Amino acid sequence: MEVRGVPTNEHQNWELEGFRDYLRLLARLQLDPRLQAKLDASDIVQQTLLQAHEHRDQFRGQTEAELAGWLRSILANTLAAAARRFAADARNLGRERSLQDSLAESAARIESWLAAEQSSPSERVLRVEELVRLASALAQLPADQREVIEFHHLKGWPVAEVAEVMQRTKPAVMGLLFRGQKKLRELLQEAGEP
Amino acid sequence: MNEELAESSQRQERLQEILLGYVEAAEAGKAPDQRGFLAAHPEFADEIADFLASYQQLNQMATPLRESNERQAGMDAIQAALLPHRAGTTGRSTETVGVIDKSAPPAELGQLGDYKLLREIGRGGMGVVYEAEQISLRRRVALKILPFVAGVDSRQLQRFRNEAEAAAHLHHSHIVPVFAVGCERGVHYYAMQFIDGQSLATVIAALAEGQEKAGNGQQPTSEKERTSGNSTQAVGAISTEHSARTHRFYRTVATIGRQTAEALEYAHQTGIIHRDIKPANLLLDSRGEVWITDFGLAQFRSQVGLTMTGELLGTLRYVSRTSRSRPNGRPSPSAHGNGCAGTLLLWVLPCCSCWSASLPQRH
Repeated sequence: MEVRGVPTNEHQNWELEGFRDYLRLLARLQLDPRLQAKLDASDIVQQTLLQAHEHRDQFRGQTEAELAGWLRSILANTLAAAARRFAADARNLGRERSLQDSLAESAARIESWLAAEQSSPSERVLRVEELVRLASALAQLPADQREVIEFHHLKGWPVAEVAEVMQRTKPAVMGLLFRGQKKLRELLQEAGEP
Repeated sequence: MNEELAESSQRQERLQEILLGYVEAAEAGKAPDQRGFLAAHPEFADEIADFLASYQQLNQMATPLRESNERQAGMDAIQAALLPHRAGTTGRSTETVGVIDKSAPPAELGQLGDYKLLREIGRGGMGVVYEAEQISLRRRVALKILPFVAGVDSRQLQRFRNEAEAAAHLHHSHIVPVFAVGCERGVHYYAMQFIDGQSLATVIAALAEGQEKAGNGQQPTSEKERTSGNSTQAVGAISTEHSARTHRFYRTVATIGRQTAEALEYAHQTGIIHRDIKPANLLLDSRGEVWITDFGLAQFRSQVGLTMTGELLGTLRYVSRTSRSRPNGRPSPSAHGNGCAGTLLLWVLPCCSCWSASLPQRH
């Protein structure tokens, strides 16, 4: 997946496709588990990319990192709007308060994530390329291996918690982690050596 | 063949247990020395070395993602780890500021920057309020934590800070002084002088309750009041005046209105509009003095829109008609405040018996 040398504003033929896995990864990390059942990360990312394409003349940056940041902000707005829609639906349907709160908090968290993203751009510039590669490699893993890696490494959950959420034993989680990491490393090495 | 398979699966299980031991020790902050760990399990040397290398590489790559997760999780962490349970939050939750919930044990609340959180004293649409100690100055403060953390973008955040700074310049004996506005670990907060008292919303609720009980000849003592000590003095005084139906009750209500109007007038002279005057934002201290709180926050709420509770800017019931009638929402400051104060008086007065037949429904 070629993401280096992302075309700048002048080029009409710019490559957003390379960011799809990256945005999906971010969306999955941001979505509350209760929202994940309702909102498909792929749909959200599709909307995000469509919007980016429609408003491409608004992008002012030059670099891949700036493009990634711009896409992240569109993603965050799309996610927050979707979460809010569900919060409103839950209210209208008279759903229990905890669900409403959880949805509203999700929306707020997504916005704060965006603010944090924007507030410290410098350290992130270096990492974007790496994260884009990581996201592409993750997308190629079997779902259970990918989930274990996302929960444990990217969300920072302890093994015990991962086991509980995935309804597996802790040793089974370690088995998935072992195989997932191994496969991921191979994929990353392939991607790193063109 | 079957034996081989069984053997390899047993070997795999053994490996998983070993790796689990390593990761769990690392999670507990006691990661074993890698070389020693490898030496202890020579039969798995290759697998373990491979695992550890991948583990560290991934850990490093994930750091920026986790950091941003942790920042945004600041509020979650506070909600989950520091807050007492949410039981008892009723439909009136936006007006519970000032209500003291002693039923929750004063657990270890933790710290936010220079502030040591002591106990939760209220929560509303604009966030959770804690009684806290500012460690460096050893003073008691009320620390309001804003639930939506940051707004949609940094410009809006800046506007919020500007508003709060302007509010910090207000010096009036009926306005709660703002000490600081800041951000710690991604959590935005607003530190004010701690007022030992109760909100007018609580007082009104207590009066209404007392009215119901008056028929039975009971003193209006709710659970909340009995547990909150000194701060109920003002409420008690008003209750007594109220149930005795004395002139002093009306005088007290008038004083509340006057002090509020004076404080608003002062703020408007300075060019600052509160925009959300309502009973929950008026505190009565133990001497019965009024303190207006939450200056500079309504503006912020308008920017984050319907984020938390779906409330409109300025709780509609108390927004002055002058503000409502102008489509651009920018009334002349003094007209705005006077309207608010007037509406407030109408809310306190129905608590006297002659108005009770038309006591408006509270939600």
